[in-house]
Amino acid sequence: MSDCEKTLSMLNEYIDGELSESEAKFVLSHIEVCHDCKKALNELKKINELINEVSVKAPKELSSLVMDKIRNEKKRSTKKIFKIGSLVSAAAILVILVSSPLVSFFLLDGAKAEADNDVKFDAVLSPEAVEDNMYAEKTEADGIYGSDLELLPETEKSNIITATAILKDGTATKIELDFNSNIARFDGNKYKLTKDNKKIILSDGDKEIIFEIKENDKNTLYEIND
Amino acid sequence: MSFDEKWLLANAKRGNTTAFEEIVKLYQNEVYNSAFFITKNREDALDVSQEVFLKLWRSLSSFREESSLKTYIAKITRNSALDYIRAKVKNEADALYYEDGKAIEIPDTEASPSVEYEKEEQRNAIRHAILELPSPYREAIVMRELSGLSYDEIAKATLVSVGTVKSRISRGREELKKLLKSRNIL
Repeated sequence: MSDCEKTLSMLNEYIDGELSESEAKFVLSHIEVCHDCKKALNELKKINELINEVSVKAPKELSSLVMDKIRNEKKRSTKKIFKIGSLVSAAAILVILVSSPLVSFFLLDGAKAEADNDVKFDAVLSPEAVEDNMYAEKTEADGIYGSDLELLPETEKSNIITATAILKDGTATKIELDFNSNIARFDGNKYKLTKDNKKIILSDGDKEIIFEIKENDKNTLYEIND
Repeated sequence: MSFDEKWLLANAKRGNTTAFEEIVKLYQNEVYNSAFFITKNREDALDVSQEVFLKLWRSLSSFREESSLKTYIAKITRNSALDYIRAKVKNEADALYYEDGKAIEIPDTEASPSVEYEKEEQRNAIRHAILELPSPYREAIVMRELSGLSYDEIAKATLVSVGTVKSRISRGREELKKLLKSRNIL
């Protein structure tokens, strides 16, 4: 390969700062003596200048639109935390939507939940940002849980609960409790899952996350004691 | 990542909305630009941009910082924009709408005095040319030039090899050169 061919093949990387020092030096020293390659380089630089001239600016309202939604979402999460007692009505909603309505599972305020793990689940409950308007409407009408819930009717995945844990700071993280293989996935990590009458324990050898099963007059709540 | 950005990210991860708002402001132009050059439409770009930041907020706690925040945001932007197009095309049953080079909407130009007008005309012509590039080339070039991503970062955001990114950028610029020359812009 001639010096010109070699230089031309590296010009894009050269202007993008992707070459090693020695490669960049080679290009630089070549274009000092080669008119054609220098011309090609200038052309590329000109193209970049033109591209940069046409960037579009984000509309002024973008950040406020985003932040309004996030703050509303946070408000709803906070509302949820104080509405644990309303789990009964939430369970009623699930009755409508899950054909086998024996389970409801909510992770709230890092995290509390209600569940009956002795039953087979006919659906994977996956509370997340919701596209399912019908469901969102029903829940909104009840004034709880907002539009954070989504049901994925994957009947083959019985005995698996997926949910989003809304942590104290309002951020959300995904949790999956697979009672078939006794594996849990939480906050991006994989854990061994064990359960007894009082606790659900997620362990990865180093640490354990314990969900205490707490009884109150209406519900079974799981709380993380990290 | 700058110290400020690290600090903002750490606080946003803890649920601090003010810190997150600063992150939005830092990245809104990059996100909007990428969204615009993928969706080819200003309103769609605004929808996508909102979606991107909402997704970012919701997923911050699981962001392990194995890649830079910039790359992470670029990846969400790309995926969101592509999902948006797919959904829209499906909804409108009009696949042609988004084919390369068709139905391009150029942003409104602000009322300009005559000197500015000519410049703006040229800018629009350049935007047209960029939007007419095949999407893989356009995407790589916009990420490189307008979002300032490195080849490695683009590769991570678009799930292709660095070699592929290199070739897309090189071919993209070549195509763009031809288009600009054919319109006497270059």
